[in-house]
Amino acid sequence: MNGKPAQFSWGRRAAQWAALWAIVIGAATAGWNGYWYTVGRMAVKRDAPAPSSPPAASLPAERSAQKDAPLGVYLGELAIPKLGAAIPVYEGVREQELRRGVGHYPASDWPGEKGHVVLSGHRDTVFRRFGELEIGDALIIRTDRAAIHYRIVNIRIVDDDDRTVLVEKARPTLTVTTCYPFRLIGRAPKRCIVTARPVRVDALAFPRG
Amino acid sequence: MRQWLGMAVLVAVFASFPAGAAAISRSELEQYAESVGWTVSDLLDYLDRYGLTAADFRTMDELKQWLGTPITDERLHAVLRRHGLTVEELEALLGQFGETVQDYTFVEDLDRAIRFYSQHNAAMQQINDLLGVLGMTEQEVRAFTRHIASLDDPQVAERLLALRERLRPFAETEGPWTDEERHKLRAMWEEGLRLLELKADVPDIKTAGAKPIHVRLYTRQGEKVADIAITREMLTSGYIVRAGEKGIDAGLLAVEMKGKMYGEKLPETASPYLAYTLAGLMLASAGFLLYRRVGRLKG
Repeated sequence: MNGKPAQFSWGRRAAQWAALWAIVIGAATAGWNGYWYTVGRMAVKRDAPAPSSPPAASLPAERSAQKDAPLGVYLGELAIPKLGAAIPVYEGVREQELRRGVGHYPASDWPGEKGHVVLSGHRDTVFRRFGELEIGDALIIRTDRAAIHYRIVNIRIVDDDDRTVLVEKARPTLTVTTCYPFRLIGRAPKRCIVTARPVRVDALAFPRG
Repeated sequence: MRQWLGMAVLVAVFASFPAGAAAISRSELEQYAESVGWTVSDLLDYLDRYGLTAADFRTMDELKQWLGTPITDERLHAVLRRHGLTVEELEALLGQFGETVQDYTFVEDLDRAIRFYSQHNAAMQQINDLLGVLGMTEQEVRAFTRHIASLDDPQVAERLLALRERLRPFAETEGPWTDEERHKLRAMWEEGLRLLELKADVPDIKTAGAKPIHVRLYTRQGEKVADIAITREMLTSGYIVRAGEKGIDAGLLAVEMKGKMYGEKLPETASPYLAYTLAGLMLASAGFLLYRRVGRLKG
């Protein structure tokens, strides 16, 4: 019985320190990640229906300005009328861009030219309700000059290593990718691929800030 | 004993944090590289072209999946059937771009090369024809385009286009040039070299006669890219300008190819934030519980 109090107090002190560290590290982790999760959630703005504007034939000079934009630059926004949401689009698909909005795959084209536009977003923040989309729904890409309207023509689930998605397309196409299954937490071995085709281009009467 | 319980909870929480990535071992890399007829450094060079290293993959299986399907005889024939080509036609197509089938290790790479090359075969034929008269072999054209594709300047395509525009009026006229025109052409040649980060070894241009002079192009590192033979007749006609245009076209093609999407891996779009937030909260509350337990034992 003699030696026990000293031994006991040593163990208790260690446990106290461990407990304190756990609180500090846990709170810091929760704070940092919670912050970025909130940033992602808040990136989705409520979107009022856009005022109708005159159709424009083409988007001249859009290309050179947008195509070679440096990573992280704001390009425009992706509006999903069905969800009443508008999400900012940034150049690049690194974590730095994806946690602030939707990323534009740098090697892909930009609307207004013939090619293939690829956008990606997190399933748990900006595309949280992505699973509600169906074939025929509209997607709109708005830049400060124009709104390009797309209609979803296909939705499919592929493996994360599928190399047939990010390829050149003969016709103008918008592809939006996110992780699948649509859960907030957990591994995501698959990707949800939404393919859309342009239906019309509107010149914006009131450029958005 | 109760504080040990708290400790156990802590350990469990720590253990539930996402484990550090299990790296791929060198021997695994070696084994795989050997199986596709590569060395490890070939493999790493290949990954480097996509801005990746072996550390970007958690397991060998993941790496293998990303790399794609190694070419076998059987798979090569499947690719040929899909594109409606014979072996000879494929060799001719790749040869046009200074390559052979042996340069390809994965079915996916060969597949998209065929797709890209068939679209640009006619343009490349013209480029090869014109540059061929200057004594450039297909391998040299290839080295030339490879060099351009390796340039980091993101504006290189735009500048090449601008240069091509300035060159256009000269292509329509025939020489001999006036002093002023000669001066302009000379300036454009210099600018083109600077843009493409090339050095030229030009002998005295006035010695060009029926017997051609040899202009050698080197990279800044001193690696030889091409050897061009120019006769006096070419210099005094629009021919040299048209060849210059084709040279620029070859450069533009190289840049275009580089900017293409090569069927890359899809971006990771499951954000870790919510999971980490919850794990952090769990850790903090476990710590809090433990702290209270330890504190209560005191009394």
